[in-house]
Amino acid sequence: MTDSNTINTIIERKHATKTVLIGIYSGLVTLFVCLIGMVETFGARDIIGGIISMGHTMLIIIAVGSGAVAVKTLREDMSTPGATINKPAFLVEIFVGVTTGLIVGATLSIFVFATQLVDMRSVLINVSPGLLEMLTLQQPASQVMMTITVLGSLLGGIGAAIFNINPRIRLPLVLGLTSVVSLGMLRDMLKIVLSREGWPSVLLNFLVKNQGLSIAGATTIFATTVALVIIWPHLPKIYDKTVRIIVTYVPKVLQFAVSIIFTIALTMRVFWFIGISDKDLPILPSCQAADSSPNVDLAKCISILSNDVSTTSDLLGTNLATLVSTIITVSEILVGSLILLCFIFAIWNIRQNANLTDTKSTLEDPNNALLIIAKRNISAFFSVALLVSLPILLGVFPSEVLLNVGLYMLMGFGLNIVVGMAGLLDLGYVAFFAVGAYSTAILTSPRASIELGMSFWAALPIVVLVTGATGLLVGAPVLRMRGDYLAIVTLGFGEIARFLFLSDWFKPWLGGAQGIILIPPVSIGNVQLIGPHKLYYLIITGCLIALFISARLRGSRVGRAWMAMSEDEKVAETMGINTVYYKLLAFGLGAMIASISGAVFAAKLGTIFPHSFNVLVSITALSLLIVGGIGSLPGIIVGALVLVGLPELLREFTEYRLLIYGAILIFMMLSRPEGLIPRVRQTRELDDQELSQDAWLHDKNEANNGSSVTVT
Amino acid sequence: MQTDSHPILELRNIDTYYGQIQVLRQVNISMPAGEITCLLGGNASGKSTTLRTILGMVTPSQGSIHFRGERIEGISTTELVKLGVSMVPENRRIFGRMTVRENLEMGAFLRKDRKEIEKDIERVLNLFPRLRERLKQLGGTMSGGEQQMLAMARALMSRPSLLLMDEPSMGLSPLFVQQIFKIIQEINEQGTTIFMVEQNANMALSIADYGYVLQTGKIVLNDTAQNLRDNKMMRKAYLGET
Ligand SMILES: Nc1ncnc2c1ncn2[C@@H]1O[C@H](COP(=O)(O)OP(=O)(O)O)[C@@H](O)[C@H]1O
Ligand SMILES: [Mg+2]
Repeated sequence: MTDSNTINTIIERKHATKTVLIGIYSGLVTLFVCLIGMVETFGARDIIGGIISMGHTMLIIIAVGSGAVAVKTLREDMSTPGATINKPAFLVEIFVGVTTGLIVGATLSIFVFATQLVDMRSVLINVSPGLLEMLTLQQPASQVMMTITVLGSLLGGIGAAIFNINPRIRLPLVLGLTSVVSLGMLRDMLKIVLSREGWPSVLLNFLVKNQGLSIAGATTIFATTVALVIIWPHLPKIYDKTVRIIVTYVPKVLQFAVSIIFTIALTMRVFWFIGISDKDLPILPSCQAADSSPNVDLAKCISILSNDVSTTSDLLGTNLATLVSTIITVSEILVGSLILLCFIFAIWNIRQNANLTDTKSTLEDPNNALLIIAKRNISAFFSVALLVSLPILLGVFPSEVLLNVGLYMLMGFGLNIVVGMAGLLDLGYVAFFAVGAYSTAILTSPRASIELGMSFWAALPIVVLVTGATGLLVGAPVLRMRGDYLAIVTLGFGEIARFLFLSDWFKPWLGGAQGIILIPPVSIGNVQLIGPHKLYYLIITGCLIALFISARLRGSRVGRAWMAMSEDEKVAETMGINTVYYKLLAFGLGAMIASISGAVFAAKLGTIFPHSFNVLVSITALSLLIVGGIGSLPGIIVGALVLVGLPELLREFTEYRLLIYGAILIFMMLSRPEGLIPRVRQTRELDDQELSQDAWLHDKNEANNGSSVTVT
Repeated sequence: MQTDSHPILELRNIDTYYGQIQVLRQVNISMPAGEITCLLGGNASGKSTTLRTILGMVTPSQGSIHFRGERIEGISTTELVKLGVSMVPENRRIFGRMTVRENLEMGAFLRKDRKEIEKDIERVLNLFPRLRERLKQLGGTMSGGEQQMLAMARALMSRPSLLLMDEPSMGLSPLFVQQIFKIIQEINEQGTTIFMVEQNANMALSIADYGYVLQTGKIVLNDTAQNLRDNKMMRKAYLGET
C-alpha cells in the first residue's frame, strides 16, 4: 500500500507545516505587541493586584491561543470528507499545541537574548528596560531563556488540552476566566462606579486592590461567573414558574399596585436624579468627600414635580424627606440587583421565543396567552427599569460612555432604514448628523449670526424638518444609482458637507473652522440637562422611539416596498411600487433620525466644529450595522455597545484603540460574517436553503416521472 | 385577420432607441381584448424592448401607445400597473429573499382589500397547486419552473386585465413548458388578455390567437396563429422544419 502511505505522509506534512506556520504567526504577533509597546503599557495595569499584569495576561493569551487555534485547524482539516482519521489523537493534539507554544516561547526568548547582544533601542524605541524586566521577570536574561520557552510550550499545551475537556466544565472555566480578565481590565470603571455613594463601600474594598482586582475579589468573580453559567440553563424554567405563580396566586389588584408603586418610585428616582446639580455627584472617586445631604436633593426633586421650590420644601418636613430618600437608596440596590437578574431572564425569554422549539408544554397550558403576556410585560418593565437606572447606578463617567453609545445607536437606527431596509448603501451619512448639529446650533446659540436663541425643544422640529429636506436633496440626484456608485457618490456628499461647513463662504453663518459656540443645554422645566448622566435620558428616549419606528416600519407596507426595492428595483416597479418615492422616503427618514442624534450632540458639547463630522463617523455607523448584522435591530444595539462602548471603556489605551478596534472587526468578519446577532430572516433563509437543496433531488425525480400539474 | 373585439392595447409606428442605437422600427402591434397575442423573434430582435416600451421603462422616440383608446406613452410603470397591466419579467426575477407568500403579497402591493387579496391568493394557488406546498419557502430556493409559476402567480395578484409575459418558456424543461402554457391558456380563458413574447414559436403559436414576427426591430410578418403555423417561411425560420 505504498500509495496510501504517501498520501498519509503528505497529509501529515501538510498538517505539520500548518502547525509550524501558526506557531510562527503567533510568535510574530507576540513580537509585534512587544515592539509597539503594548505589552509594557498594559503591564502597568494589573488584572490581579501585585500578581499578574495585563501585559503578562496578553502574552499568556497569545500562547494559549496559538495552541487552541492550531488544534482547531487540525481538527477542521482532518474532518474533511475523504480523510482516513476524522479526529486526531489526544497526544497528537497536545503535541501540536506544545509545538506552537514552543515556537512562541522560543521567539520571545531569542528576542530577549538578542536584546542582550545588540542595543535595539535606537531603532525600536519601545525595547525599554521596563519591557525586558517584564519579560524576564526580573531575572538575568541568560537564565530565563529556558524558562520562557518551557512556559510557552506549557501554555500551548494547555491551549490544546482545552478542547479535550468536557464542555460542561470547559464553558464555565473559560467564561469565568474571561470575566476575571475583563473586570480586571475595567478596574478603573469598576472603582469609579463602586465608590459612588449608594454602593456599599465593602464591595469596593473587597474587589479592588492597588492596580487590579484583589485575590479574594478575583476568586469571587470567578466563582460567581461559574455559578451563573451552571444555573443559566435552569433560569428560564425558574422564571417561567415564578411568573406562573404570580399569575395564578397573586391577586390582580396587588399585581397592579406593585407595578404602579414600582413605576412611581422609579420615576421619582429619575426626577430626583435629573434634578440634583452636578456638584452633588461624585465624578471621580476623589470627589466623593464633598457631598451634600440627600434631603436637599429630594426636596429639589419634589419641587421640580410641583414647579415651586420654596413652598414644597417647606411643606415637606425634613424627616419625611430623609425617610423617603433612605427608602429609595435601599430600594435602588435591591432594584438594581433584581433588574440585573430579570434582564438576564428577559434576554433568555426573547431567545426562547425566537426558537419556538419547546412551546408545546406551555401551549397546552390554559393560561398560556396570559402567561406570555405577563412574561412580556415583566421583561419589558424591567428592561426599561434597567435602562432608566443605569446612570443612577453607574455615575457620570460610565454615563458618558453610554451617551456616546446612544448617539451612535440612534444613527445606526437611521442608517439601518437607508442601508438595511431600503438597500441604499450610503457612506456619507455623517452629513445628516452634521446638518442636525449645525442647524441646532444656529437656531439655539445666541452667538449665531441670526441670533434666534431658540430653546432646544422649539428648534428640534425645525432641525428635523430641515435635515429631512437635506436628505431629499441628497437623495434626488442619486435616484438612478445603486451599489458601488451610490456608495462613492454619497461618500463624496459627506465630504462636501464637511468642506461647506469649513468654507470661508459660509463663515459668517457657520463659523468656518471655529464652528459655533455657546449652544445652550437642553432644559426640561427649570432643570437643565447638563452632563452625560442627564442627557442620557434624552438619547435613550430617542433610541427607543427610533427602535419603535424601525420595528413598526419593518412589517409595514413601506417596509415591504423597501425590501422589494432592495432586491430588484425594476421588478419592484412592475409591482406598482413607486421607487422614486420610497427611495426619497428612506433618505428623508434616515436623515431625520440622524439629525436628532446631531442635535443632542450639539447640546452635549455646547460647541461644534466641522472637524467632528469626518468620514469616520459614517464608517463607524456603518460598521456597527455590519458587526451587529445588517437589518437586525438588536444587532444595532449590540453593535453600538461593542464598537463604540468598548473602545471608550478602554480609552486609557488611547494609542492602541484603533488597533484593538481593527482586530475586533477582522476577527468578527472571519468568525461571524453575518454579524453578532444575525437577522432572524437570514438564518432562516440559510436553513431553508439547505432543506430545499436536500429536497431538490427528490423534486427533480418527481418531475421526471411525469407528475403533471393538476388543472381542474 | 384581426378579430372584431377592440384592442386593449395598441402600438402604432413605434421607434425606440437606446442612445444612438435604434432597436424598434415602426412597430405596429394590436392586442385584442380577451385574446392571446404573441410576439415571436430571435435573440436581440427587440422583443424585451417592446415590453419595456409598453411599460414606460424606455420612451419611444416616435409613435404612440394606446391603452383602451387613451395614449399612454411616457406614463410611469406604476401608473400603468394601476391601469391594470401586469408583467411577468424575463428570467422570472421573483424576490428570492421573500417567501412564496410574501412574493404573492408583493404582487398585490397596490391593492388594499385584504379579504379579496386572500381570496386571490387562494385562486392563484388553485391554478398553481405546486406553490401551495411551498408557501413558506423562500423564492430563491425554488427550481426554475416553480419560479416561473411564482412569477406568473405574482403578476396575477394585481388582477390585471392585460398580462405581459417575457419568454415564459426560457430555460425550462419541455415538461414544465407544457404545464406553463396550459396554465397560460387557462388564465386567458378566465378573461385576461395576454401578450406573450417568445422564442419558442411552436409552443406559442399552439395557444395564441394572433402572432407577430419581429426581426431586428421590424415586424416582418403578422397573421393569425393558424396561418402562421402554415406559413412556409415561418416553418423554415422558426418552427424548426428543414
Ligand atoms: N439597456 C440597453 N442599452 C443599450 N442597448 C440595449 C439595452 N437593452 C437591450 N439593448 C439592445 O437592444 C437590442 C434588443 O434587445 P432585447 O429587446 O433585449 O432583445 P430580445 O429580448 O429580443 O432578446 C439588443 O441588440 C440589445 O443589445
Ligand atoms: Mg429578451
